[in-house]
Amino acid sequence: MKGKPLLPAQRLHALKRALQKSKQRQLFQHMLQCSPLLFVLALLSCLLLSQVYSQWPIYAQYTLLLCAPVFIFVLGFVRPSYRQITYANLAKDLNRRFSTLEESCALLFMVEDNTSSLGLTPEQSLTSLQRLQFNRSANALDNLIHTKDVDLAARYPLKVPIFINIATGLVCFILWYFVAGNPQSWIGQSEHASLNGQANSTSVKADRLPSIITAQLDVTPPPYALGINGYTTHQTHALDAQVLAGSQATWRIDLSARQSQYSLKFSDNDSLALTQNADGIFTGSKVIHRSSVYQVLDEKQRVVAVHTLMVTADEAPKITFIAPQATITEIPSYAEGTKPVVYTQALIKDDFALGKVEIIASVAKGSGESVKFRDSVFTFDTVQSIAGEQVYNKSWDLVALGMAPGDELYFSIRAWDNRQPDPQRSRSSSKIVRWLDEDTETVFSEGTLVDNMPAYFKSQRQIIIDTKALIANEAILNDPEFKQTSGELGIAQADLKHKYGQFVGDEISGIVHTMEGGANTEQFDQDNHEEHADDEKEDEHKEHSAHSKPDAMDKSGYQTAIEQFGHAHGETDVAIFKTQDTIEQNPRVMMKRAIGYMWQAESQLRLNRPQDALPHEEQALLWLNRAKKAERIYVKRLGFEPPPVSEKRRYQGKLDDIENNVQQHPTVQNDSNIQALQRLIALLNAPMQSTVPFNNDELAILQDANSRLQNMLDEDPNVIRILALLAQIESAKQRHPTSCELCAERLQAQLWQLLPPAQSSPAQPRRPYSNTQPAIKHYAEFLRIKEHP
Amino acid sequence: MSWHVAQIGAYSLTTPQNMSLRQCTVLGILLLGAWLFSNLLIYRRLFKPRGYICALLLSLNTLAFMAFLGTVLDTRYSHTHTKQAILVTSGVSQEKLAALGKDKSGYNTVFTLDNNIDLSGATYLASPSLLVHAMPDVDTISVLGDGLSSEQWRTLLATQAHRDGVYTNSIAVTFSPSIKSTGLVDMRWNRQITLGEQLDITGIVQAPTTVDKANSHDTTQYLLQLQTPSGSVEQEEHLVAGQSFHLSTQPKSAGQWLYTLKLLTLSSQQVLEQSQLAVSIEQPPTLRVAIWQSAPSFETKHLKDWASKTGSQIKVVTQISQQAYLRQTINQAPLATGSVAPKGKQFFSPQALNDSDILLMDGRGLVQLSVDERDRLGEAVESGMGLLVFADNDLADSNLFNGAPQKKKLNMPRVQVDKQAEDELAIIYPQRPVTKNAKAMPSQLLAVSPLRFSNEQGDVLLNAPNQRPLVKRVHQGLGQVAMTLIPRSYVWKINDNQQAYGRLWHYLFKQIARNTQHTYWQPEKQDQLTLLHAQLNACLTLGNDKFTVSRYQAFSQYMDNQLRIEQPLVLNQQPEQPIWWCTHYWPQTSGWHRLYLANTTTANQAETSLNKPAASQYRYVYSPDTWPSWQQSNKHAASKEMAALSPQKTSNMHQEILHKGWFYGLLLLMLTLLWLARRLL
Repeated sequence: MKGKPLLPAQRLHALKRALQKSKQRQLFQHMLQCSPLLFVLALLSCLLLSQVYSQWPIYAQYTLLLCAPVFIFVLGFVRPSYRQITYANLAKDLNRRFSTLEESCALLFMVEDNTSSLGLTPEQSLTSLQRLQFNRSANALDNLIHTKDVDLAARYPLKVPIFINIATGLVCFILWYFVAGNPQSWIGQSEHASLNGQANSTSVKADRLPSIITAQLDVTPPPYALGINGYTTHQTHALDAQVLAGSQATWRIDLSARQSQYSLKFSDNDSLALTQNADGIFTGSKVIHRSSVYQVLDEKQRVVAVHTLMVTADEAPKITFIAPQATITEIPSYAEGTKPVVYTQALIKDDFALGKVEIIASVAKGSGESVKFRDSVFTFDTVQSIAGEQVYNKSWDLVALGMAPGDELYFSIRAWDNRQPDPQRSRSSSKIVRWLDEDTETVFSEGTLVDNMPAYFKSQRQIIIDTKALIANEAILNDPEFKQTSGELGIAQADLKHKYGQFVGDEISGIVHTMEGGANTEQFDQDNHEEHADDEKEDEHKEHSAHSKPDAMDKSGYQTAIEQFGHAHGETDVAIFKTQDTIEQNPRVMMKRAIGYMWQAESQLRLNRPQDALPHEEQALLWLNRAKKAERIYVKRLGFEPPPVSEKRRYQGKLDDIENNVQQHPTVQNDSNIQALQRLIALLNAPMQSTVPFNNDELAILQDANSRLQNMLDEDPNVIRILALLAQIESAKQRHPTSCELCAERLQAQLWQLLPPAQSSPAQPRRPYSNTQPAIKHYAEFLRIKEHP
Repeated sequence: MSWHVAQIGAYSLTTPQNMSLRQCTVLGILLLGAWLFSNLLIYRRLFKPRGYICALLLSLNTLAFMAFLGTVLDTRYSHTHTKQAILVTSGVSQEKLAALGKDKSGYNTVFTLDNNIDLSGATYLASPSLLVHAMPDVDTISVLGDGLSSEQWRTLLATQAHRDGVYTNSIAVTFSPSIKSTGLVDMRWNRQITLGEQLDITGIVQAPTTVDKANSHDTTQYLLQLQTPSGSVEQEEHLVAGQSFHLSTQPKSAGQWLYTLKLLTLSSQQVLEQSQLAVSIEQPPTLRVAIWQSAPSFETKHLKDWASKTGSQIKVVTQISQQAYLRQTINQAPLATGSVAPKGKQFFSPQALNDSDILLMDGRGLVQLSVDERDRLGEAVESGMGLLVFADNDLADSNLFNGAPQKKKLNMPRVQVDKQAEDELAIIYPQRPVTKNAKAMPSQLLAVSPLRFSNEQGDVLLNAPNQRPLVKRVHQGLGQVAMTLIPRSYVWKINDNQQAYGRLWHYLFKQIARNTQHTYWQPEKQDQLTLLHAQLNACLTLGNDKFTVSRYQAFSQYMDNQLRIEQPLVLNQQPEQPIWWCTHYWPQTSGWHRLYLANTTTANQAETSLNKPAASQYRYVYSPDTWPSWQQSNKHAASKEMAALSPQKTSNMHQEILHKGWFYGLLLLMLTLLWLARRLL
């Protein structure tokens, strides 16, 4: 089809249009070629930026996704293929595509260029041959321009880029759907899912767990401890800390998500809401009294972090006696020119400072049941500072205290420290100062003796008095009267001996009457008493039976049977404690010694030798008195506290002779606790299930163990470490939390130390051979011998 | 097949392999004809004008034909010498390596199994089995260093058999051991135990100067520490080289645990060896205990309390008067009212006895049983039940030992009254190693009844230190009948010696009770290490719990980079023991491996079998660098044994095929000369 010849300007315009169109096509192709990269970038930003680097703001993703196409578009203009779209190259392209141009399209551009720039006509700028060719080409080009179906612009293939775009788009979509759309299969997401248990694929952004960016813990010790033993106000960036009891802890935590509420939850179920400052930092303060594990929770009660606070307790004052060391200090009998003075020195120290120190003293006067106590509070006379330690001194003037020989002084020290608001009090062991009695006469002359013996028993003093009287009247009395009196005294001595003997577990042989039966005057029959006594010795058990009457209150007959057939055997605790200067003896031993002297006195009296009997009688009385005073100490101790074993007698805890490194750790004793911890340790020790999350039953085991360990915390503060590890595992709901890979191993090690060795239990045997064929039996025996040679 | 053509001294000519006789003949005739014809042509053309040139060309032509023959035929050279493979293993001393470097003998080839050994000219072998492939005509293998383990020798000998077609131990072996390293050897411990069982560890300390393990002159003091899985030191012993040791510990929890044995020098505290002992501790399976007694006793009361704590099913019937019985059940449904009164027929019914794994009876109770009941008891024992009788005077005075009328007579140890035998004695476990300085404390003594075993029948389960048997056992059918002379073991329990009490009864129950009815994996051998890439053998013992091997598949499960990998195993029935099904595989990762049976191959059903202890077992695979001294000791022993059993060093006739390249070259040269002669003349 031939059209009307075009003007040069029209032709140039058509070519310019073709050039512009070519550039547009090139840009379009460029964008298509780069769009797979955009798909990949979008997928990566969706997966990585939104999950792993959750602290990146969300608009960063949008900015990135918007900037990338612009950048790529701009890149298209500087691309060499775009810049090569020139008139010359367009001419080459037209020449190649349209043979009618006869490879002369460039001639047209040259003419058009000359025309437009230099204002030359084709006739002026071309040779005749070129002009001829120009006309031919111009006609051909005009025809092409006129032809509707002909597109002069360069063609850029789009099939391949479109195919690549579709394929990449599909792959990215599938990846996004199966990876990002499924939280369990995406590692980063499953971390948080396991932590909060509320993973939701549709609201990933909303459920993102905040993280701690910076943290600071300010610890202020209680005022009384400030500046002592290195306790000062200090800050730490670690949220695990060891603090003094009563310290104030202040948390300053910067969290990634500030538009939320946070709180600290402590293991004793106490919680502390954190408040947000103007600078966005969350703060909270609490006075710490007890070791605990605490969790940083967000408003959905999800665990952001787990940390521990270990509390160092303020110790109570320690009181150490320098003098006297012994529990009982004996002061000799009062003598002319000597003053009964007892010197007391004690070292009292506290980890911070002492508040008040005082002495509680009691003076005991009298003996037997007539003992009287007088309590007083004293202060120390002087305080010395020796090598930085406080030594307290006190001198006791026993006379000034109103004491007399035979009296005793009991004292102990009480000390308070400066802890606020409740000072801690310590109390020392009790010390006893015994001002020894002079002799029996002195005691006797005081008239303080309370003779609890019934009238038909002569007391030891009475026997001594009678013996002295008999010795004095020996010249007056005739021989039978003397012998009779001496014999009667012997019998009285024997009765008294048997009576006291009962208290120390002796056999009741020879006693001729019971208290219930009253005085049996027949026993004192002068003519027959010796024979009678012999019979009684032979039939001692019959006497029991004959004289015992059933008690009205003893309806079952139990007490009667015991009295009739039983004896007080097996209660002879005769331990001897050695004191500093003498032998401090058990009252029972003293009684036995007194009874021993009574035996001697009785034998001498029965042999009518009262002179020889008198020293034994006096010795017996001496030991009886001592025994009574010993009993008084016992009575007093009931009101105080038993005197502790003195430092000299107790084990010193020296480990010099122990030559091995075997470590002994405290173990759990309670059976149910043991089983709970065994269940926990077995749960953690599962090599093939290290990546499997806990199910509900297993979580119940964790919670049970947690509550039991909380209860153990008071007895063993080291349990706090176990609780901290357990809390991390419990919150992650898996054995190996990503935040603490070795938690399970460390927890198992700590639990192992806590547990006692397992008890053996019945178990069914597993014998490899159950066949009774002789050959197999022999072979089994051969293997057994080989296994256990 | 080849044909022998000619023999010239040590050289022999043979036809190529697989060339038929006809082909040989045709080829020979053709060659002979060609040689004669060519010689004839040369002779006719050159003999007259130039006789000496003719002779030269004839010689060249003959040489060319000989070279052609040499190229076509195989020429073998026969000679006698010893071909020795020097196998250098780890631990070889530098002096020996230097001596090897100087050895220029052409018949010795050096191989090494250790990539780290710096030895020029040595060929590295990944496995000893490759040695025979690398050197097929080896006469002697000279092993230097630590040597080979018995498994490695086995593979090497297996390939030797492959070489010869039939197994002939024709290779001589010499062994030059390395210096013994200081460490722990001959280790033994239970790899799989149940919770509450004691873990016994024995071994010997080896030092370089230890000539004889039992008699060493080395007086260096060593410190051996046993560390618990938590890392704390539990036991320590001072030892000298060659001294054996025995450590005992009571694990605290079920699971898979690694104890550590640490050997140090006492003086400098230098760590010489630190190796781990892997122990898998399972929860003990429960037991069904029945008690029949003619009167209440503290012994059975405490036994009942102890056994019921861990869930064992217990039923107790106590005769409290002539016609009245007290029934009690623990951890199971109560007995029906009147089920045992008046004669306890239900209790001694075959079904009831089959439902019990062990029956405890006092002697009087046994004597008072009717003949029928005793018959049923005898049948129950023969079918596997365990019977423990507390011996007493009634039993000793009864006629049970002397032909009481009975179909199934109970075969039990005989006792007699001996007033002098009443005593308080310590307990010795005959099968356990005796601890040194084992002096019994008063609290460890137990009262013994005034009875004695009157015959030698039965094996002794418990001894007194004076070798007096205290508990004896007699096998009867599939079951056991045991008798104890210890009437009051509960004294230990109430005297706060519960560990010893539990151990005693755990041991007795395990020796006497009915064998397990469940399928289980047999425990590992106590004195063997399972190493990485070495063959792991495991055998399954089938019980009566309806396991059908055809329906179940065995698996090995292990962790590799946090991934749980399951590997199916093939079970093979053992012909000598049909209830044994064995398998083996080569573990690819060290650490814990779990063997188990699963109904199908799906993972979910495999999971369900996790809690089935009978068909599951954990084993630990050690990396090859663990227990270095023990492995060295084992290799020394295996290599020495192999050297002792192998034939003496001999020299063998060897044949070498001469390389045909020389003949081919000669042929080319001759043909070239002949061509030149053709051109020039």
